[in-house]
Amino acid sequence: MRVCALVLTCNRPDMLETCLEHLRDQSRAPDGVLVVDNGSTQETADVLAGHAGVDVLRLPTNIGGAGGYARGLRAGLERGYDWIWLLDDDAFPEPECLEALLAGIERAPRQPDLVTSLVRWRDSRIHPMNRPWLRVNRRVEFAESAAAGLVLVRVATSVSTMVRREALLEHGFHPEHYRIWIDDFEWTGRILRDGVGYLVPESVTLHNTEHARDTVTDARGRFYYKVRNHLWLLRAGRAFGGLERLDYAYALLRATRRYIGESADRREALLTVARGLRDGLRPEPR
Amino acid sequence: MTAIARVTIGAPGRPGAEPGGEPLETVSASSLGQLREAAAGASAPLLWILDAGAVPEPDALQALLEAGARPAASLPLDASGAPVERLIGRYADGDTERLLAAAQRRQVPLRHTHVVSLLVDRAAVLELAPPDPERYRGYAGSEWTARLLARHPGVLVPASKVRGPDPPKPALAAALRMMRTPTWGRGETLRELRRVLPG
Repeated sequence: MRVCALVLTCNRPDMLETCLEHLRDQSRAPDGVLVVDNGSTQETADVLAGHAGVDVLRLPTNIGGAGGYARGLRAGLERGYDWIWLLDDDAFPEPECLEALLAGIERAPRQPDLVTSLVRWRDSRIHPMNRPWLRVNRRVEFAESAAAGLVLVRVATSVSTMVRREALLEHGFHPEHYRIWIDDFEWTGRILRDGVGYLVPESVTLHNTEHARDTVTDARGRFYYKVRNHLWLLRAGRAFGGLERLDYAYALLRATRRYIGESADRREALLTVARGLRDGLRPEPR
Repeated sequence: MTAIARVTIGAPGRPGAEPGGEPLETVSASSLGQLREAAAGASAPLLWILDAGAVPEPDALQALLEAGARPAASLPLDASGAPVERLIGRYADGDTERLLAAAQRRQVPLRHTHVVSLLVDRAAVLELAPPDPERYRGYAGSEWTARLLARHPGVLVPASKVRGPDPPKPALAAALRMMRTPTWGRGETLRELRRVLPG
């Protein structure tokens, strides 16, 4: 089983250095490391020059996380890997992280299309941005997975998630036009709508963000992308159907209410939501 | 004194698998409503409550004992050996850390379950008001285990398997009565309805 670690980076050379060190220290080393450099400056190139054997896909401009991952996955497929393991540059996998993911695949009751790690923040809580969406409503499959020490998931984020080649060939990649946020939900949601994904609890990755924020509490005005992409996914995405789609619509309402309620500048928050609604109701630029 | 009493619900106790050949004290109750009386009549500190229509696999009790957690429920199977989703009940999905930790022990935390095969402390049964099959019909076990598990967090042990019985027929009025009890939190009703309604 040939595994490619796919690392997405953009102008965070120190983080990238640490991430690559964690990959080097894996108890089961990946068979290849591919770094997608999303339009970084020279400093990132200098870090990469110090890591012989790391494959680099350099993009001339920053096309967002969605685009960077999509290009990287395509490149990984072209290089013939069986599994591609996605990591942000601020994701630091523990030494047994990959070995545990592979062990999870071996003991899985059904052939997984995707396996994912438990992602924690610095204080060891589950990172709110990477909280797993567990598929508890499939009670029989969930019990089967627990019997194997695995947890059935419905979607996963792009932090320490490993996807099978065949799933990529069938379902494709992240939607590039989402740019950031929700793109991984759309993509893994599609894969797992009829597919199988597990979280492997012993596989742990530290997501070393400055704050333990999620898409609602992130204070950088990015909620625009949340609203817009969430609407696109609801309107035309193939990730969810039926009651799941209703649940997901309700989730947007709750998130929006929380975002506005918790924002220090209500007017700015309302404008952000309004912009997201406006663009989310327009046709997707495919 | 035997450590475990087998409490058969709905019919006299039947011979069956016993842990390490140790004889089990056997007690029976005509219905779930008589469960507390049956528990009071037992002397063992642990009760293995079995539906009369349930046939445990040989290592079912051993797996429940090894789980360590109590209450511990078996995975219900149909006659062909496939798990029966409607008898499992609902998982306690509000605490992700607990779900992940339980998976590492090969278990799933339960919010409630039908009483098919359940290992529980006798004291826990005695401290609760008994199930009420007249009011909650086929959901009496779910209503009772919801109260039980709210006080004593328990798990499903997939390695412990029992065959049968048939799941209860959906009874909307009884299900709604169950969901209006104080054990059910706000926001749970819709999820419960989706679980109990057919199709």
